[in-house]
Amino acid sequence: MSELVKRLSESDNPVVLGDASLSGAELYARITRLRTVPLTFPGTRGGTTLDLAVDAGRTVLDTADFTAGTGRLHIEGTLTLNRVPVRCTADIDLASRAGTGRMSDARQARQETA
Amino acid sequence: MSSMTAEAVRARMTALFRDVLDQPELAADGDFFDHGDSLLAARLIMRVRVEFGQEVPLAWIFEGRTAAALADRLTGADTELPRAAAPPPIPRADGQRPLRLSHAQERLWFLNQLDPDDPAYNEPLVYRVRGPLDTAALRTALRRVVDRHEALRTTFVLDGDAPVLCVLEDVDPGLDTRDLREEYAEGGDAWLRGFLRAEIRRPFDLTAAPLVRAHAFRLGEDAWALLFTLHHIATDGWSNSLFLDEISSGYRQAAGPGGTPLPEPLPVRFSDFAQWERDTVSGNPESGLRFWEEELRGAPLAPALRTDTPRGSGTTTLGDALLYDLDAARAGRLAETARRCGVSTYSLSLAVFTLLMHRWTGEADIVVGTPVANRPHPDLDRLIGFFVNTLPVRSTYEGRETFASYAARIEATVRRAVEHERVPFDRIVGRLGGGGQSGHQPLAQVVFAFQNDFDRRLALEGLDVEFFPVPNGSARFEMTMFMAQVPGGVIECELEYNTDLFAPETAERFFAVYRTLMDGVLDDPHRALAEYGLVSHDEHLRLRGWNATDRPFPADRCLHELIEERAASDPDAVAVVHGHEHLDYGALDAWANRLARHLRARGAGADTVVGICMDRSVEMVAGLLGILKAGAAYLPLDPGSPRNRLGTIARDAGSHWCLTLERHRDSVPEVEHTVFLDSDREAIEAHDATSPAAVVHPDDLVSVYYTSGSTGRPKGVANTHRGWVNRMAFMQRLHGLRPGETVLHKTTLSFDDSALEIFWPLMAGGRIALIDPGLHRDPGEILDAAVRSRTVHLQVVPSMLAMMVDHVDPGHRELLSALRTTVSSGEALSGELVRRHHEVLPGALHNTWGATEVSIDSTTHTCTAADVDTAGAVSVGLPFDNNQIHVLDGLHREVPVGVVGDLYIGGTGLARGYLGDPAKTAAAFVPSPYAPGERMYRTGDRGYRRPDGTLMFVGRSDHQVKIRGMRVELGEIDAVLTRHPGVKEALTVVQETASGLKRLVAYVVADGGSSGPAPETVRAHVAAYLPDYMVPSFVLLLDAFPLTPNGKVDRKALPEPDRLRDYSELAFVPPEGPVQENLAEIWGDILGVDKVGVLDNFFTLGGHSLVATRLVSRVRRRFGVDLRLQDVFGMPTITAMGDEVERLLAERVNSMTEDEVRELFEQLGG
Amino acid sequence: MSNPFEDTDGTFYVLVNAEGQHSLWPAFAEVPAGWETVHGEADRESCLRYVEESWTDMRPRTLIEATDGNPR
Repeated sequence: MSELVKRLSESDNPVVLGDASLSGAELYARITRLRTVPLTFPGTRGGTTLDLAVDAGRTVLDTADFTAGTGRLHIEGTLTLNRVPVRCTADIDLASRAGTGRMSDARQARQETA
Repeated sequence: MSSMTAEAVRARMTALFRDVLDQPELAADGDFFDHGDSLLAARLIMRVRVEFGQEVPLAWIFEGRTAAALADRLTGADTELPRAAAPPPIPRADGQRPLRLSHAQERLWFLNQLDPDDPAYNEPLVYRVRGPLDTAALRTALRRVVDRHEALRTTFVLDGDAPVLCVLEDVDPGLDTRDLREEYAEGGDAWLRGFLRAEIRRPFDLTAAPLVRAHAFRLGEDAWALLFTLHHIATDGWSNSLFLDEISSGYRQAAGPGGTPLPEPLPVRFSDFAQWERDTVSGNPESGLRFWEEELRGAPLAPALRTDTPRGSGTTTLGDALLYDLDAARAGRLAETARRCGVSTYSLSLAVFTLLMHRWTGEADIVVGTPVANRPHPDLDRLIGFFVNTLPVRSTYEGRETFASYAARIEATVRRAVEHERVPFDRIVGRLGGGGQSGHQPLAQVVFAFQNDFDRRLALEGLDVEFFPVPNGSARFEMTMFMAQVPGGVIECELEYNTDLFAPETAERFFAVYRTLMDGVLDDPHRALAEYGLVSHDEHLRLRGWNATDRPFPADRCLHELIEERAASDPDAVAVVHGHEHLDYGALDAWANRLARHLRARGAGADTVVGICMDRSVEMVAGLLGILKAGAAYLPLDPGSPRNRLGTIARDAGSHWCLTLERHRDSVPEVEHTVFLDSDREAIEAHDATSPAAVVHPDDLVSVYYTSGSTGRPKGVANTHRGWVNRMAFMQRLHGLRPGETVLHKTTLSFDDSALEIFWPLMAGGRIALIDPGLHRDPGEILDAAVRSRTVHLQVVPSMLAMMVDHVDPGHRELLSALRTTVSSGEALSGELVRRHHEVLPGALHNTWGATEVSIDSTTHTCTAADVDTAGAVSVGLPFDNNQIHVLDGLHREVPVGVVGDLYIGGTGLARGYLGDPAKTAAAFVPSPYAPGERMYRTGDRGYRRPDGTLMFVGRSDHQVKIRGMRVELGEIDAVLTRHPGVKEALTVVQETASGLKRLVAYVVADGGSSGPAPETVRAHVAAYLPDYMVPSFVLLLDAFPLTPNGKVDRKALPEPDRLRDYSELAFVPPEGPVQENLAEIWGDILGVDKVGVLDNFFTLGGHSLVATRLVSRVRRRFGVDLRLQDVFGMPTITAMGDEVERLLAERVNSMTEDEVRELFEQLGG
Repeated sequence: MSNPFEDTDGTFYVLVNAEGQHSLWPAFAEVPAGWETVHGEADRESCLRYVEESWTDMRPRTLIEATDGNPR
């Protein structure tokens, strides 16, 4: 499987949700309405920005105040990277948009839960 | 005649010459054409015929040129010329019938109806007078003139639905005398001009008399300004001089004792002439009209001049004028040169003007108007009235002809025209079918007039009188060049131009080029027309400056090498994303390396072409990179195209390999090696993941892009790495994509713009976001994809952009915050679209232009608010890095700013040529005179530069068109059509609907007299060979193509298809309902047509402007509603007009009682 | 006004540059610097036929020299 996926699933990584130009309102709309949101792992060779397919059931937003731009949120979603289906989870501080996140091979996860 | 001695004849003749030319000192051997022109020659001939009672041919004056020569020829004539019968007197108009207007008057009356406040036809005569002005005498003189000349006291009223003349008997024009000494002392001449102009511009009410206003404004103790304003419907140049003459003599008589006796009573009245003109012209109009039909056959009906502001219903007659004097020395040279060329001064000046028009507009066939006095009967000589007629003068341009020869041709044309001067201009227009447009004058929008000074001289006994020019502030035509010979030998030139249409700079440049041309001609009139230069030295330098675009770029690297560098430094960055499927640079690179090895193992490599038949997918991007790493060029094969076509292209390109996916198995053309990226995955992954390090040179090919070919065979443009690297490098310099930013890839791979969406982001470390295959035609889907992907950059063609701006909703807008730039290319961009873009989409809008043959594009323009008001297409800007643009004429020389020429592109972006087609390559990639040993590409596009150097695209010089931004050679469609067994001949044209949509219409002649194949069959046949955008929307079957006398297809005579149905002939659709039925009845009655269908066009059925006023009047009487005159032009079918009438009726009915409504509908029979 | 290169009645030359690229050129115009005349004055047909027959390898000379002989 992809070397990058392995690296990102081994431990927690710094992540950034969206970027500075995304307003709080837009970020909220992307998470809840479009169900797709960019999540960046800046610590990789070149920085990796992934478009997450938001798993609404597992995403927690009520601990964040999007209007005030404060609080924390937990986001989960799926995507494919280098032909490997993965699941991403991240915990983000809304004010800085930064946090920690982790990837896991979705196939393994299924095997584990089976 | 025989009783006169040769001496006497010579003396009489000289006297006649002197009189007509107003040259009392003229010698018997003085050249007539030093002072006169063809038009005066006609006047002279009439006098000669009457004087000597012989049918002297007009040509004799041109041949003899002097009174002596003409006299001797007459005396020495072997046989007597036919007796010139004294022309029968003009009969008195029948007082029982309503007095009809002359044709020319009807036109002015109509224009007055259209805009009663338009002062364009107010003719001013202004004089500064010094001395003791006797205002009472002047008033008397004025009254005398008005009493004597019916035209000045005739009003124009409606009798039923047509205008008639109503002559009033006791009309006192009065003399408005005002003391303006104070105002003048304060404001001086500047104030005076403004004040007079305002007076001149006061509208005339044509239902009231007199049509002359007279003022005497006192400016000082013995200083006056006299203003006479006449409406052109009652006068013309000749009449003005008669008017001034009679004022003069009337004043002398009234002011002094005795004086000259009252002038003789006039033999006819203007109303007699009007009646007579109708009777004689309608009696035998044919010969005159037939001449004009022949003379103007195939002449352009559309205006030649490009305007700065679009023509339209909003165009008024506001104008301004530029003045220039040809000093006596130059004027002398002009006369001298004319003499040496054997033409009159008038003809030479006219020829320079028409040459200017040809060279300025790039049109080889133009029509210019020139006024003629048109007094076809000696009894009319002393009559004030509106006689002048506008003659169309047609000029055709042949670059290799000498100017002298051209001028002689122009003179001959004018001579022929003068012989048929009696045919009213409006009849000519009517016969040619040009009366239906609004927004520009029919047939001739530009006029040349050579005036005589004596037309405006006023002599008042005991006073010092000077003509004081005060322009009216109007322009009757788009451009009018006046030249007038004044005492002292100077020739005054005036260029009057419409300020709604032309900026002052444009008029100044036009005038300047006229002077440059005139200088060139006076210097040597025997050069070829094309050789006269228009560009000054300074201008050459400026032109060069705009092409100084040299800039360093990675000229020694290949496209994939730059991407490999990114992969090496940032392997974990995402390179491609499709939905939620991501591929990083490292994985992309590895995959591409394996593919490259796989291909090389099968013989692909340098100097080979590998096809790629895939729709948008992550695999496709890997495939492209793999092909380049193999050292080959990629050939896009659109899986949506018919298999036939893909096979043709693959064979033509000599491509033996094709990358594809299982799902395209049925579309892929047959080649030796087909590689399925999905089902061959194992085999591909067996290869090493490192780069095969193929040796690729920047001059090697990166891709082959096929475009439509005019003879039926598509051409493959062979692009080089260097050209594309330069293109991508500029992209990055201008747009500055940052690593990690996203660009949406939405354009089909077979359209070269797609390369910008793929290779540029990869070079810059950005992310390519793919829109699902098939969704790129849906503006909503594109907007969604732009939103989801957070693209910073969007590439579109204008027709798609137009759909997108209509589709954007606030929900989109707030989520498009990342979008910084939209680039429009492939088609002309309108100002309206620029405005709409600014309204609803964020970021900047750029407009680019270029050609596949020169690395996708070569120029760019950043749109601003100023572009919204552009006439025509928005500017395509200036050439960018290492590109040069040249605008050249037919002799391969640069043209001046503002003049249209052929567009050529030079520079680093040039493709190698057309793959496997050296001949086509040699004809299109031609030597550049601006870079030794280098080539430039002949685009076939035409355009011009604006004063700031930015380029404006104007059209094509051939039959290539753009449909949704894609190149279509109409000839290619024709070739495919004729391949169908049932089709003998075919001709495809592009038509643009009112809403700006382009549609392809194919006209087909069936083979072997059969009824022909059904349109559906023909269309299906084309679809089997050509991509969807090249399949005609309509197929019309004809028995034969209509032909011009030259044997070419008469495109203007091809029938238009109705909206959504194919016909083999235009259908008659009967009117339905009371409104349509009543309208059709009125139309039929007015136009003299039996059956009027609802799709018929009012003007095609024979209607014209004057008939339109009758229609409006009838509609008012029948329906009680006021249809506007403009609406007849804008809605010329029963359907459209009926809708409007219904709308107006509904409004009216709202305010009626029940009884009234019932009555109305009973009336309408509904 | 039509383009001189399209004029089927005109006369032309075939010019070649240092890279071996062939081009059509109208006879009335001065031959630009860096080009040599190899055919003509002749009609358009004849010139194009000449090009067809003699310009068989459309790669620029610089490229041929830099890469020929080396397997790629």
